[in-house]
Amino acid sequence: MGQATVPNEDVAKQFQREWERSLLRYRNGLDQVLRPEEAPVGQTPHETTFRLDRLQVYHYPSPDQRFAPPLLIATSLVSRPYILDLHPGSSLIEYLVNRGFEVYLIDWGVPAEEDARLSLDDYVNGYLPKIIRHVKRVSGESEIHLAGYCMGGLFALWYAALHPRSAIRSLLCLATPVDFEHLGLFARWADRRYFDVDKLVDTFGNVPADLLQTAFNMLRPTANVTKYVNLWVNLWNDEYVASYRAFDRWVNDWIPFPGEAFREVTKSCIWDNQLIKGQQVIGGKQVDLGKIRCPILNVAAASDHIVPLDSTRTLTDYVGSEDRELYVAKAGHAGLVAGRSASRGLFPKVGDWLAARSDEIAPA
Amino acid sequence: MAESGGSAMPDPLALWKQMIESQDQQWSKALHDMMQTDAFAASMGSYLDNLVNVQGTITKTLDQYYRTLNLPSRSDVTRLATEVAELREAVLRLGDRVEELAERQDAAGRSSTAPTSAGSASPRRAAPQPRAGAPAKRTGAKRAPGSAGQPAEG
Repeated sequence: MGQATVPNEDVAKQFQREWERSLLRYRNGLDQVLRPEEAPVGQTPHETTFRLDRLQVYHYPSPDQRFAPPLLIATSLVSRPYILDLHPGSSLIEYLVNRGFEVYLIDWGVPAEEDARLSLDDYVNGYLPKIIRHVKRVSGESEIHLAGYCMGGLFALWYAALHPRSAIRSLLCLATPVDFEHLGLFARWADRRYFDVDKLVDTFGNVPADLLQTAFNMLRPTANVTKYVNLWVNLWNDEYVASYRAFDRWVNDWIPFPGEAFREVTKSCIWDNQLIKGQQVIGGKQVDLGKIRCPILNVAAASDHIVPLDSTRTLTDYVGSEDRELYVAKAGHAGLVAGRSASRGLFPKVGDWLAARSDEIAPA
Repeated sequence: MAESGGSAMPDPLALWKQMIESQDQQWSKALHDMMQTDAFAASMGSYLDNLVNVQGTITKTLDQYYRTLNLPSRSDVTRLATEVAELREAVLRLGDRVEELAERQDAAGRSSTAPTSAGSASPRRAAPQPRAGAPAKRTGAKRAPGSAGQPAEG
């Protein structure tokens, strides 16, 4: 006859730990339900330094600036830019500012109905040169580091290729698709046989935010289940919950996509993959990535389900830069630039790379 | 359930999470494979086409309704806003051109010995000022190949 096993100390401790965690889960869960106000984001101190139409440029001064020239970051038209300054400790901008860089961030704003006419030419040859001129003027620098995340990286590439004499010290592309043949599900769903982009844009003007959100959510249809499972398991952890709320805010914060720009990206990039073929024309000028000669760091995410690795990694094969590097991070699309593993991996990599291509400023 | 021999209880939450994740992987793969097919893309296209048709009908109907009531429709307001935006862009382009001409004039004035005309309305853009607290001299200027000495265009 077996004896009843008396729970040992480890089991008792484990029970106590789970009991305490359950109480914390109930507390945080109630907090989540009863106080669903938006999580604070974009908390690194900054000021708006430039406004034009809908866009704003934020200036993040460094309390102890050690490097020049400044870094200007462009983000996608489809999502909010605060992913790069999501949460203290998980913010690329916060890291770079604390490292000693002066950072500027473009917020393209929420397009209104009349912005449906904005084309890639308006962004690349209209807005970007004005923004860059302004940043150089206010910073007192003749060059900048130019960076872009996702479609923002495309803006950076297009600008650098179309303005090869523009003084760009270096180029940093984060999860930037260049080979649209490997874009995955988006490329399949936008197949020209089935997707009438002209009809969509001519009817709606700007592509509606909820349509975009649905499309992105469909890339991982089970993500909502695993998201809540992970949340429940970690609901006791205040830091996890704060980070989750900030991230969840960004994931659900979609904006319309300007119609003409959407039409152009669909036809020239997704349908015809013109960028890497050297056939893309913006503002009447051919985009030749080979004209980019400045140092370039291409950062790709190995588990990116939005911009698959195969669509980003080949960028360095097409630029004319001698100083070019591909860095593949073990992360997903958003996890590449935000979160704890990004703060341990990507952030120091980007900081070191930029520092090596910057002027050091001696302390006053 | 307690295991004999004094080892810790398996974490039930971790086991549950593992089970869900395993199921998720299988479902994800199956759904992903289905969504990659031509048939799915065609049905998505068809759904979108219907959505656009419905939206188009609604827009036209409402436009007609507002027109009947002698009120501006959404299309009218958008058209007006677009014209205002284009007008604003034209003004900004003019302003850029004036600034460019003023800079050229200032540059020409600086390079010649003759003084510039008094009372010129063109604003002189201030030369870049050193940042407060930043010393005039930098250390270890690091210029990458290909970028040194190229005139700024942007």
